[in-house]
Amino acid sequence: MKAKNVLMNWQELPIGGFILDAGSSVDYETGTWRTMKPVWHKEYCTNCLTCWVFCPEDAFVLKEGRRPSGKPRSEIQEINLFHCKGCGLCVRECPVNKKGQKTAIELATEKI
Amino acid sequence: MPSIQEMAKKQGALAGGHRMCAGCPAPIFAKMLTRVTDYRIVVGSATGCLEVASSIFPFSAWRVPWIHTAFECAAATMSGVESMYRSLKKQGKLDGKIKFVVTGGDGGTYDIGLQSLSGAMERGHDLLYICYDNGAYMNTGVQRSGATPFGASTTTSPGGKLVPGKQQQRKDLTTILVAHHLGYVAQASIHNPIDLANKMKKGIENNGPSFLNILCPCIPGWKIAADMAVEMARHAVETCYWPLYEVENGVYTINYEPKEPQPVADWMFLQGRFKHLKDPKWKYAVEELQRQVDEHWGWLHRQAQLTS
Amino acid sequence: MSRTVAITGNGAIAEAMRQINPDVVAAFPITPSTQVVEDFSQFVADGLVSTELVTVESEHSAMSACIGAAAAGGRVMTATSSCGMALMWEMLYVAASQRQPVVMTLVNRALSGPINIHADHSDSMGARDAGWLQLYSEDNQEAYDNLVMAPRIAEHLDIRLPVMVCLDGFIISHAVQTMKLEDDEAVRRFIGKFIPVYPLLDCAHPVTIGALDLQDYYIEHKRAQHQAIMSAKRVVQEISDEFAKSFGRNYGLFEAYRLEDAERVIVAINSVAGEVKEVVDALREKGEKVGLLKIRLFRPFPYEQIREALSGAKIVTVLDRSCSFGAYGPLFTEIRTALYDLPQKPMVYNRVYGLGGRDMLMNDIEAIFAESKQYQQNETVDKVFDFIGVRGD
Repeated sequence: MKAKNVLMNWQELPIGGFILDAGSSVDYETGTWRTMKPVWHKEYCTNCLTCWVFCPEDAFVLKEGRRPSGKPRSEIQEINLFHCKGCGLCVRECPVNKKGQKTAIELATEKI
Repeated sequence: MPSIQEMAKKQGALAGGHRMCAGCPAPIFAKMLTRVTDYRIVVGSATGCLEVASSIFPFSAWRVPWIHTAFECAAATMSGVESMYRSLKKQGKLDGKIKFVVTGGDGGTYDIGLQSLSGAMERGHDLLYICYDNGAYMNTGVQRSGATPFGASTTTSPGGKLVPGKQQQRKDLTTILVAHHLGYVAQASIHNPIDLANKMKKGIENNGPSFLNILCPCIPGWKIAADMAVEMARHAVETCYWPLYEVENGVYTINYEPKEPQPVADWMFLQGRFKHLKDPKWKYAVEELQRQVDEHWGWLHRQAQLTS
Repeated sequence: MSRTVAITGNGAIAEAMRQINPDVVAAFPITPSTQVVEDFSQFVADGLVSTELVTVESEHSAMSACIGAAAAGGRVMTATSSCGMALMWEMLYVAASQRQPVVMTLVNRALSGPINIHADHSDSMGARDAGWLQLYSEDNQEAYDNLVMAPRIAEHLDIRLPVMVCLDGFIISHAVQTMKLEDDEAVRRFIGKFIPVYPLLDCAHPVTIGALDLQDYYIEHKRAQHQAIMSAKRVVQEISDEFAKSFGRNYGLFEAYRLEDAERVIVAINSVAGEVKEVVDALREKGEKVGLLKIRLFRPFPYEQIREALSGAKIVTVLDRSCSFGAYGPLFTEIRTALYDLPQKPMVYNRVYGLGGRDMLMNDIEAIFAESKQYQQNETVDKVFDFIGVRGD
């Protein structure tokens, strides 16, 4: 994923200021905004997807997995650090974290 | 009621890479728009944070057809889109069903956009208007709106030596919309995604105009930490400042009753926008906001009883 | 079959709209354009059109709904006047910049204040920078013809811009004149099918309309918009030529009335041109070399063509039915600019008339030609700018 760094000439522009490439913001890196970065501890994660629901950047990438019972479910695959702004909502809202015994996800200092 | 797992199967309406503040909860509801329904949707937005930050040329975070024209006319614009849809369907020029959703902040909804919203609702267009209420004109730098709570400090109603923040009671816009005889009106909060998703689905799938008012805290506007938006919304609901309820064809249903309603002051003093009210000389303002919250909560219960 | 009818200007406009049968009309009433929408509402109620009529709650919402409807992907029309257009002023720019081919009838009426419901051109002149094409109409036939041509012009793929068709309030909008109303089928054939460009309702190809531009893109988008409106001069003539083939009436970018050897010329817009033609004919009988240049296309302004047409004139009186306070009249400014590059420039001066519907009488026009004769003889213009018919002056 690369940002569109090359600026278009007026002749190359779609009509009326339209953006024809839906969802093209995925090419724009907002990960540089971070000062803290989320660290996911997969072994404690229950895949409740609360972090996924709340993440403003849609940065929790899902994959197909299975419950312990065998039923299919969507699970966390990884965090998309290209977009993650390090807000920490995932850490604060994680139900495993809230129980107080384990840390399923935490913030670490981002090295610049 | 859409479950999290059901929603996880679908692609979100709003992609990452937008420029909303870190921790802004507006994308929580915006992402959900395509996850709560199987209908195809077209979205329109009033000028404001969500609109500006999602559509900086040449990047668009919208994965659905989306239109923005100006600040006060999102409802009027979508009235036009929806009317064209009906016209083309009637003439046999278009197949299939499309649903229409409009988003606007409290600025573009309570204040400058109230006329066009009211007109659209009265004309009966089949669309859902979603207001994300963060309590001020946030995109232009936190100026007071008709939705700003009593006592809040904004740049045009600052907490100063003489005047401690906004001195007017906020409008009850949800009730104004109920007065338009809509099929579905509701208040939701971004902290409760299941309740929110359910209401969003009902609003989208209702035939006719619907209105959904979502409490949407603002990090720089409320002066809270970047990870606190969800907690602040939850807390607001626990104080009864922002009741979660639905009105379906005039019948009120309160969706959540806090077991122990929290004092509104506890919620206020977690936010920088109310910190000037910690001075004991402004006690009256804290008491006044509590009085307004209590009065509204009592009134809401009476409505629920009256219309049950 | 085409037929001759006795009809008001507004009635003629409504008939044209009925024949065009747009997909959506979003409108709000304002004198003197109200009757257009009233007539059209009756057509809707009687099932004569398949239009979805949106009776919005303000003109700002009317234009917003028009933009939304056009963006959705269909043919859209509306009508307004004066303060109504002023209220939608912000949205005119949006319609043009988003390249939506909305067609609007503007029944020219003075802007407040004081509040006045009668004809002048302050409304359309006030919006001349908005990026809309502007076509002006002398009488109800021209208004009807311009409106029939408007969707073709607006929707042309080289242009794709909104078009406003202007006619004088009350003088033309409410006065009954005879005119030729063309056959429904013939008009439908001329208008043709609407071709959508990136319609919103094409959910399989989601488009983002109304994005924000930072400093890195705004001027490029405007450059592209400028390119489109400049193509309109060619396209308006092409469509007008096609119209002439279909319906027998010839239109150019302007009308040159007895202009070829004219020494003294009046340049004017809309209904006053009718009276000027009468005076020109009377003076020509007496051997005076006078003529009229009647503006039709005002935006884009056909500088080269008008310069060519006025190159033989000795003195030009530009009549403005609006005041650009603190400056010369809007039409005068354009005409003088057009003439500037001529190696031998005619004298050119400005007269503001008819504000708020003040009648321009034949005597007044004769007086103008008498004055220009005086100036021509003296080889100097005493007053570059003045008002006509003001008590106290």
